[in-house]
Amino acid sequence: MEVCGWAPSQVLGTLQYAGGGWERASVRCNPTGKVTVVAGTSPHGQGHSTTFSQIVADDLGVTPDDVEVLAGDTSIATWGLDSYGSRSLSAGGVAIHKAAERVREKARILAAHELEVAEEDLEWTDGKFQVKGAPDRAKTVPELAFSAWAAHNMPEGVDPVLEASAVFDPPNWTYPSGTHICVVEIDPDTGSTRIDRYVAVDDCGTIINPMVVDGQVMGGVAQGIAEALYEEAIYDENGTLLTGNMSTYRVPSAAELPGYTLGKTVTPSSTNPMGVKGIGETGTIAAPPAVMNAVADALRFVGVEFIDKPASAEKIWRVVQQAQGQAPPDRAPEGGGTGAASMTPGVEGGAA
Amino acid sequence: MTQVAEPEATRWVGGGLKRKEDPKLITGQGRYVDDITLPGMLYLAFARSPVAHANIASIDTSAAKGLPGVVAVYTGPELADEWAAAMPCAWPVTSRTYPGEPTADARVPDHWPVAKDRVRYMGEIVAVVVADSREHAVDATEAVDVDYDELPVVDSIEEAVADGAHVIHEQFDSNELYTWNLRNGDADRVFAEAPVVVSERYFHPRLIANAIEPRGIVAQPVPAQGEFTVWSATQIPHFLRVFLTLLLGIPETKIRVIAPEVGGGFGSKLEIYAEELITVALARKLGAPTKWTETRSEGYLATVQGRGVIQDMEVAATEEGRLLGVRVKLQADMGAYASLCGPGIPILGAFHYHGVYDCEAYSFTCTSVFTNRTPTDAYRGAGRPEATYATERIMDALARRVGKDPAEVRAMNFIPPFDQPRMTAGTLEYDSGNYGAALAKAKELVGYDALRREQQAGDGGRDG
Amino acid sequence: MRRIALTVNGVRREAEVEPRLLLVYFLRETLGLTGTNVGCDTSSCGSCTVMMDGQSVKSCTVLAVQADGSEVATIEGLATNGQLHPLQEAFRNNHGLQCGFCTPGMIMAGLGLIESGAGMDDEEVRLGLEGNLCRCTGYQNIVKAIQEAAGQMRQSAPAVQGGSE
Repeated sequence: MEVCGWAPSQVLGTLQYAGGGWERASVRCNPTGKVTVVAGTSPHGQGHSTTFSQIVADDLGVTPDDVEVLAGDTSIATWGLDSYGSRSLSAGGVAIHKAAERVREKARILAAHELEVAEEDLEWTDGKFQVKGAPDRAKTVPELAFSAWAAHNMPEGVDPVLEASAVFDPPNWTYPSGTHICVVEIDPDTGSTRIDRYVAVDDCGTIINPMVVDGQVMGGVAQGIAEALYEEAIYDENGTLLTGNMSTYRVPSAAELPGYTLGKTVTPSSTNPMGVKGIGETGTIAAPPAVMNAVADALRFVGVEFIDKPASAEKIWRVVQQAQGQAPPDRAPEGGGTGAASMTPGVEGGAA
Repeated sequence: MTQVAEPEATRWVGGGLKRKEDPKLITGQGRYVDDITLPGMLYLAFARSPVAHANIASIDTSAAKGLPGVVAVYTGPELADEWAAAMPCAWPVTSRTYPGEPTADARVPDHWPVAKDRVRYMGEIVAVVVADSREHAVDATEAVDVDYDELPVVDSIEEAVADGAHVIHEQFDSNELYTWNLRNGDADRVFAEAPVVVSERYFHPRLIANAIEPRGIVAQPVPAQGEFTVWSATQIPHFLRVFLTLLLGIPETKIRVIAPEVGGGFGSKLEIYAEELITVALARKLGAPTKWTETRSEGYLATVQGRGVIQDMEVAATEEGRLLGVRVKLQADMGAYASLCGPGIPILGAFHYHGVYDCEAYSFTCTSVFTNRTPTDAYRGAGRPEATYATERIMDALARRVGKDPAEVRAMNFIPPFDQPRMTAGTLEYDSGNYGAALAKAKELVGYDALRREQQAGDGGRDG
Repeated sequence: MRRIALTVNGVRREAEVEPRLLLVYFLRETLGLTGTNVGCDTSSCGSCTVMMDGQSVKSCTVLAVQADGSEVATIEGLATNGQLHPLQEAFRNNHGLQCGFCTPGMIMAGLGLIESGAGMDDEEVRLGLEGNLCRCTGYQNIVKAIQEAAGQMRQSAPAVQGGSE
């Protein structure tokens, strides 16, 4: 499981972190019907433009193509705490939703005024405000945006333009969870591991875009598998980084990774009104132990008591040799041989 | 799917809408920072220390300055006036102890963008070259002549904590940054009395994030107004703006930071980097646009690394495999300096080494230390993968110890389903959870029972 | 300096270049075609992949002077008359990209694979993509995208088997 949705500001203070965990957004309904969302989060591949558009489209009865999401520029998104720690949706998305709700609240007042009915006589259905019992008398948010911009007929005490902003300081972290199961086949003669099957069932609470969620899970799992089997920054005793570029440090390609089978459960978060938890870090959190437990499970059949990551081919070969009473000769370090890896102890320990 | 808290049906939320970001990316129209070129732009390159720990005995930039296209070369002392403050640590964790135990102030050593008289990790910047082209800048870095008086290298956690260890930051009495403790319940008693105790030690080597886009920054000044527009491949444009103000003394209202298309981060672009500070400082100093792009191998040394932790993990349990207590001791490698969030990363995992399982007693302690290596900081999951790794591996070990199936032992220990905040052993209030449902679904999807039968029946098959 | 002349995305380009200038920098900096990216310095990542004389190549392993007289196609040249190439469509349909940095190289590598007549089952595509790294997607959707595009492209214009030149 994970602790995500960075984070309640007060809690961060008690942990001695210097900044806060709130997030801010504004939602602006332009006069010709398009909606501008300004987000304080800063995407770098996660698809915020898409998912945030989906949220606002539902909230305001427009289509995602009608919504423009601006982020990552301090002159435009003047307030924000950016993106990390799986917070963009559970802090940022919730702020956007709050702002959109405030826009809709103001739009409701305008709609009632223009339709000359009481607010209670309106219902929000099919993405517009309809008079109860008289569905042909309706107003859409884009129509109301124009009215609020022309401002010819504003209700008492209501300012022109249709926009709102909101800040959301999460009252708690969020806690995505799930179960990943990995099936491996190991060739003891070469030490190489083949992942036969990788199943990931994740619960990120309410799902905004399942395609985006799956993409995040798969990307994270790939990094997690790589952490388990391939990656290790190796320093020598002089503090020299031996794995100093992409040809000596193994970032896996598609050829070194399996396909994934993905499933979901949905347990909404109690931390925010949308029930969202975040998904960005799930894969890297779940995959390393899933893979290593599979490797360990396999190797116990050949008498290996314990193995740690990365379970490279060479390491597996060595522990299998050792377990079968054939201590391999010392050799020049590569991928974690004796003497070179600063993190790995001389004897792989693990009292059980 | 559970209803969102809205009275009306959702039309777009919950659906797999194709991404709006894609049209420009699939046609090569995305603008990443290295795609930005400005008239009169100058290029930066950095001379970096090839050794992990040394005094800079002398540094001679005269040859570099004479090379074609070179506009300027600066050393650490020559740039000292640019900085209003040292590089930031936004998470200066202090020792956290219980009443009666000694406490300590945050140990954040001075960290300057360009080393002044000493280098403390391989790759630390010792000089900056500014030239009219990337090639000319790089060529000149190779002509910077530095004499290093090497010092003992603290190359691992074990070395950092050893008796008589060489102290990297002499203002402190050891290489320890902090020791942080969290205890809930009486773990010592629970472990002493438990029928079953399982202990394992796990290593998390350092990892290199390897976002496919290398880091980079462009700074464009309007000298007459003291204004700056900065494009940086960063996850944190807002924080960068705040720290440019604090570290360079430029008023916040005069700085605009833009994160253009950013090609992945995973935590490695969640940092305030020396290169960013230097690039903006030199745009100011020279009154011209400046640019720097990282090479991949440069990034391996210059970009924060992830993980770097040793864990001693223990669980106490009944003979049936029911968890009674979790006790974990961490040692975390901070690298040569306190990075932006580095000290806090282990703390992010501190509260949930019991995972989704219930238990009575919980004890966590972490000692973070300096070493002569690239600073560490967040890497996708930041502290939580480490915690989950230890929890899930020890649960398998527990299962082996009590002779039960690992899935069965987990199911036995799950916190039962809940949809409102619930206090847990690590003192976090989890928001909601239905752990059994995911396990059941995963088992079904993978064909778990059949696999286990096959495994038992076969030659063991080395199938895990 | 050496004078070179080549065709890039159907347009004849001439320039004076330093012998050490890599093709990828010629494309990005001399011609301003920044769609092709530089992701590493060991020819490992494939972000710089372009088509050269009908084959996919890593443009960081080719000197501009070596491309003299060649036909080079980059990501910018794939869509024709505003119509996306099947590979581009397929990447979008299958969520085959997230940050997009490796994507131009991936698409061109996919193009090279498909046009070389390579087999399109999972293992064959994955092996064919060995030289292209992605850190965001985990590759599964990229494989699907290339398979989908291959299906379309080979249907409309049966591939010449083994036709790499």
